[in-house]
Amino acid sequence: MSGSRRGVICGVVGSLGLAVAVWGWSENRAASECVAALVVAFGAGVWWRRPMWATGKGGYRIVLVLAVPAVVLAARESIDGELADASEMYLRGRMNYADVMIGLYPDRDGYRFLKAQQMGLCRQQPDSSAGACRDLGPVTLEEIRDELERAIATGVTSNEDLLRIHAEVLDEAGAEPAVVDRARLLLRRHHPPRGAAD
Amino acid sequence: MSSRAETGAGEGAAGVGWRPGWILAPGHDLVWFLVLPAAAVLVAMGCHHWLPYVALASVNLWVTIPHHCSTWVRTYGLAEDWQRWRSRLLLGPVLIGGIAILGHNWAPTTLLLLVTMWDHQHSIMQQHGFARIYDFKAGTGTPRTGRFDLALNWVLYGNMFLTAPLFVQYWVRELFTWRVPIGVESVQAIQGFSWAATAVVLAAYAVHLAGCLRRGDGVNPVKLLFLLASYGLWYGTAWHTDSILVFGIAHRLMHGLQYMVIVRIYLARKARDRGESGGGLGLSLAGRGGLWRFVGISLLYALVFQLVVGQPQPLESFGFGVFEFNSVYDAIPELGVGRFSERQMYELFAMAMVDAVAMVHYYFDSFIWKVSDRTVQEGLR
Repeated sequence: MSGSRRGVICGVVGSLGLAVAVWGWSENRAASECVAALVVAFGAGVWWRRPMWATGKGGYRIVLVLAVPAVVLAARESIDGELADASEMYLRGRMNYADVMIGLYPDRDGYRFLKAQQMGLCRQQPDSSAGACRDLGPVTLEEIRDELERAIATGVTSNEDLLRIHAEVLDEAGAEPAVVDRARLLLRRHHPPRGAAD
Repeated sequence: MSSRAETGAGEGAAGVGWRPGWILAPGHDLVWFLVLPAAAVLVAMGCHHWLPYVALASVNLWVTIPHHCSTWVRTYGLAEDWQRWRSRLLLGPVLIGGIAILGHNWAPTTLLLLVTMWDHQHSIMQQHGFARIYDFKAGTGTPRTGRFDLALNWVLYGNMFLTAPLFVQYWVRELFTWRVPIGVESVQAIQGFSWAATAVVLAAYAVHLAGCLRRGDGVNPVKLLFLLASYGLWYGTAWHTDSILVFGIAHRLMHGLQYMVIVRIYLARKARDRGESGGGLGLSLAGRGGLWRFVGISLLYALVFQLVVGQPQPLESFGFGVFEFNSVYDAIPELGVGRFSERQMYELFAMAMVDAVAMVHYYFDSFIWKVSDRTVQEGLR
């Protein structure tokens, strides 16, 4: 592609990017959309001018390639606050994190932990109208404990939350002190408490 | 007639069929590049069965952190590299350190995603780099073989990332976190496409190898065994368990040890070419007694790094009390930012330090190990 043709294309794309960014800002659109438009304009400028630092020989191309999407995601995370919370991830109808993973791998009991988390969230908010909670109906501690123990039986030790919640559920359900202690010991063995120096 | 591999090594070798070439020597390659992956899996499984999860942190401390040190030895310790890339070696850490601090403070999920994805890219490129060294040493392949190797590495690793249950749980969770809900059927469709693409690339790779054999460009069987061992480790551990422990330990052992070996080889070759004089600290770690100095410096670095990021008190001591973390940042009420407590400030520093050091290592590796580079080739001959 000739330099002049590239300049025209980059100029048009860059101008459009800037226009979208200004329009998005004036219309109070999500910050990540404006940032994405600015990134497009910036990318067009870099493609046009091809500065040495942005080329393979210049040494900063890899940083640029990684930074471009990261800037848009960071704007979405920090300015728009667009990240889903636990309720949204676990309780959203049938298309939620827990049910999708269990649907994908029904034979892998390690993912039963996700079901236990979902049940725990529903139990914390019994009047929840979330789809997943409606499907589950009333949840008991025993059901949550069963799910957790199915996951623990696979031998997974990397999941600190699994071991911690298991110990808490046993305690709350009034299990034998020796059983609760064993669960706590397992947790501490694999995930020693942090901040002991405090 | 096809041209010889871009590497140019192996000149004079007969251009016929299978032609083994070694990074170091048959015995050493067998240990470090062919058997190590299998041994690492066994060690990881042993850790899984007999040791607490903390073992992963220990492997991180005694293997991963020292392998970062190897990068610093190669870059800051080798006069040749320092002179060649001075501006990047100075500016890169400042830039990446700033990104890490800002990321931890304002967009921690994005930063985690960035570090994780860069880590995966870095792992792919390391194995790709070794594959290129194998062709360089054997003088096999054509100028296009590098692209085939790169495509093979990306597709095999990408397929593992998209299909292995260990990784599916992470990327599906990220999609839900970023409010891109995805159903079972969609995930399965992506996985089906991924397997199909992998089959196509494997077939294309096989055709390319057959072409190399037919035309007499040669194929290094050790390279293929090396790739088989590497992906055997990755696929085996990613499918074997839902715990990151086994994959993490096996991967870090392979990645870290192989990296330290290649740095050692590189320094030794550079020292041999230069003789005993000059060359910077890096070359003083080669030659007689150099191995022990290399190991010693690596372990010392790990120890210091752990003390700095692992305990608040030594950090204050190292600073002779000059740096008081409590007063680094004042509150900014206009932005809703409160004053950091000493503990919060330290945690921010420690987390940012861990990520920044890893990212600087990824960044430096992106330009110091180009096998097509003549200067780099000198250290690999």
